[in-house]
Amino acid sequence: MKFLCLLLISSSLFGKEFPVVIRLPNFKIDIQKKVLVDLESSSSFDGKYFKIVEGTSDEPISFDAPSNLLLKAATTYYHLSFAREYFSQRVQSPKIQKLKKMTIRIDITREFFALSRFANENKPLVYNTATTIPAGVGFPSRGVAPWDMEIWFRPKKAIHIDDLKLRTNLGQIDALFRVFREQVHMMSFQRFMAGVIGQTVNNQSPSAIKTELFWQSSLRIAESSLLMELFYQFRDPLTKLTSRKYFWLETALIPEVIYHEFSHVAMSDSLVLTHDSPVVEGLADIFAVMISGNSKIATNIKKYNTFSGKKAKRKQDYQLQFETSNYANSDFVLGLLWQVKDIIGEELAPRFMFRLSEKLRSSDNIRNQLVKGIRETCEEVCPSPTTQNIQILKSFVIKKM
Amino acid sequence: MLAMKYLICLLIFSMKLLAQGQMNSPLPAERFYNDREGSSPFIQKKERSLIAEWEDKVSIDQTKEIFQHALSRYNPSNICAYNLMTDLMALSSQYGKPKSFLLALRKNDVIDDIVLATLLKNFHVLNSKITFKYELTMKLGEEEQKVFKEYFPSNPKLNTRCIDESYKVWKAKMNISDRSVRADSIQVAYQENIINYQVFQKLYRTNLANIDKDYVTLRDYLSKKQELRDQKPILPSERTTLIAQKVKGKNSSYRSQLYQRYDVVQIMFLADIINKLQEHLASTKMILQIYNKDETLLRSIELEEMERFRFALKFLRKEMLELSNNAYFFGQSISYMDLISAAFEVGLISTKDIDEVAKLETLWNPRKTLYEKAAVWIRLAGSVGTLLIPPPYGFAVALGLVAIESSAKKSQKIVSPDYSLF
Repeated sequence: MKFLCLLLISSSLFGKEFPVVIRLPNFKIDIQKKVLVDLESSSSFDGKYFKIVEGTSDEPISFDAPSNLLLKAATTYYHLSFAREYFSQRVQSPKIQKLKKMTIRIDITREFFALSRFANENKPLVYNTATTIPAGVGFPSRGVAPWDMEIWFRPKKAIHIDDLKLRTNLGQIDALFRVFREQVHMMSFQRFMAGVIGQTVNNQSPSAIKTELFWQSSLRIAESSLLMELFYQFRDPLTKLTSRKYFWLETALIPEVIYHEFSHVAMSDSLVLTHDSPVVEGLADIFAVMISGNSKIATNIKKYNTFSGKKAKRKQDYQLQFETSNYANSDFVLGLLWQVKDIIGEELAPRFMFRLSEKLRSSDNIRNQLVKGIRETCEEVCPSPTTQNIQILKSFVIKKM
Repeated sequence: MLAMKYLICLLIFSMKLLAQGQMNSPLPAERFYNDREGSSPFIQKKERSLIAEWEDKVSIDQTKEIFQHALSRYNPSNICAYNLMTDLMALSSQYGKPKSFLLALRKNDVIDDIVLATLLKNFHVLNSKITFKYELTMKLGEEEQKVFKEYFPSNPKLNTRCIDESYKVWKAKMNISDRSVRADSIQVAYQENIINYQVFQKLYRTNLANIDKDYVTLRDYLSKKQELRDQKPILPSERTTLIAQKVKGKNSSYRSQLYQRYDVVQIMFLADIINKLQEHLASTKMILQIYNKDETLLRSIELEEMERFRFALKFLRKEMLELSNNAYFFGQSISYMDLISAAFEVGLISTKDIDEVAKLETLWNPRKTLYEKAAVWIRLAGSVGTLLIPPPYGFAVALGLVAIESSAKKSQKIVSPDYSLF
């Protein structure tokens, strides 16, 4: 009887092919037809584990939706299923194995409000991001029913660079530019002095041609130095002139962002979704890169993202500012955890990171609690805890933590 | 009461006899067994073919038997590498080359690298040729004659030391740094009948081989090793290649250097520093307590994770320096590898952890990267190059230099940032 029921249930699941944004082995994007599995409806994106809806609606998106919406729905469904499989099989998360059907909202611009889920329509609309919403008890007296955890993908909106409060990584580039400028001035000076010395030596047998050549050369040296100085002094307006004007981010079409958001769901028992913190975001990032199999997030995808993305292999030293929520979306913690992953090995990494997430809280800091969590997890999980802990701590010392 | 006194005296006497008995009983081959060293740096391609040559003719059991047979006339108090090597040469040459025999012993861990090095050195001593100079006209002073007579008496029964031990003390007393001048004094001692021909041969050859350089005598090594094993028994299978590697600029390994430079107590002190390091690294809490003048606690500061790690390393370096200045170490400079070798020797670090613990040194003593070594030349060549290239193309060279500087891997030294106590 049980077998028959199971057969009935399983036979009520569909698989259907849709165009989906995927990553190729060289990390470039492509749109290819992929089978979406575990669909419960034969006409909409309503599956066993995910229901894809548009905006604030509760109705799943139909297969007859416009192609743009269809692409987003199929892409999110496909990649969320992949991420779910990863957490269920590889990480063996009991929470994910028992997870009820989740509502996934795409193209939603309303802000989140903890009491009523959707903030008032008068509030500013939100674009260019994705967020995981914690479950809520609702507001029964006002007719707001309780809701489960959801993932919201905001639509893209082109925003002018002047309207963005960009925290850039130009400090490093500026430093390099300064070094380059100093090198050029030093070179020019050396050339000029070499010329002067040459002239002084040649004065014993002066020649009009040689003198004229010296002055011509000096003029060229002065010109190149002046040009360099002009470039340096006007670098900001020049950078603005030559750089991109508009920025946007279509989160529903970026696989790593989808994995990142689902990771928040997987870790939500210990890392609550009330606020952004570098540790929480970093852990979600490391799962995103482990699921995607590449060290980058949202790069090489100019069509859907014009921000710089995140790179696990970026070389950067620790700074105190990384502990603040302003830097919650920097890739420092991602880089740190990537190093840990390299030390403990690919095989062990998913379980390690998950055990680590269970030890941490949303308000934990990087330098103390995250490191403590990593050490304790390694004591429990690593095959050679002493050796690997030393390797981990050494790598952190080199990052000036 | 009187009976009690007699009983105690009898007990002390019999314990002394027992100890003497142990010292006089034959040395078992197990005392030479390799229980610490991984693959030997002495065995390369050429040596492997020599070993194969030996093993084709002689089984491992027979090889061990030859060794044990040679050991039968030695005990811990009279073991001498020169004499042992003489016996081993006589026994092994019936089957093959003595050097092949020694290498086969090492390959099968019957002996370790320290014993092998000692025996090989004595093998070279035995095989070296004496080239007689013309009769020397120099004369030995009274003091020098006394030294010869003291350490090389004509009656061999009066000399209980092995030639390598006698040579070491004789050399120190003679205080002649030049090897050839020492050789001359030995020849003159023979000419003047201060030493006989047998002693002359041994001493001359030993001096020729400069035997005391990077060398530890068998008696010294075996007694220290036994004492360490008695105090700190170790797991038999823990072997590593790290401590068997040759020290840069020397002809002996880290382990051999340990036995050459330190006695048992010093080795235990060295190992204890690593023990403390491991305890600090494993610690889950460290608290700094600050007290008032009246000894009331003012405040407690708990150290963070990274602060604890840097503290552990700082403490290690402090202990190293303090130990060097300790009167018991006579101002000897102690290297980090000495600590590692000592800790491994007494079983305080396992083979799993030793490589990583040894690499900690790169945090305060980083190796220069290839870029840093080449940086001087790159900058020089770059500067000269920019003079030769006409402007504005010199930009390209400057850009190249900046690109190399920014992307080249630089060695990282541990720094204690401002936001950290250690």
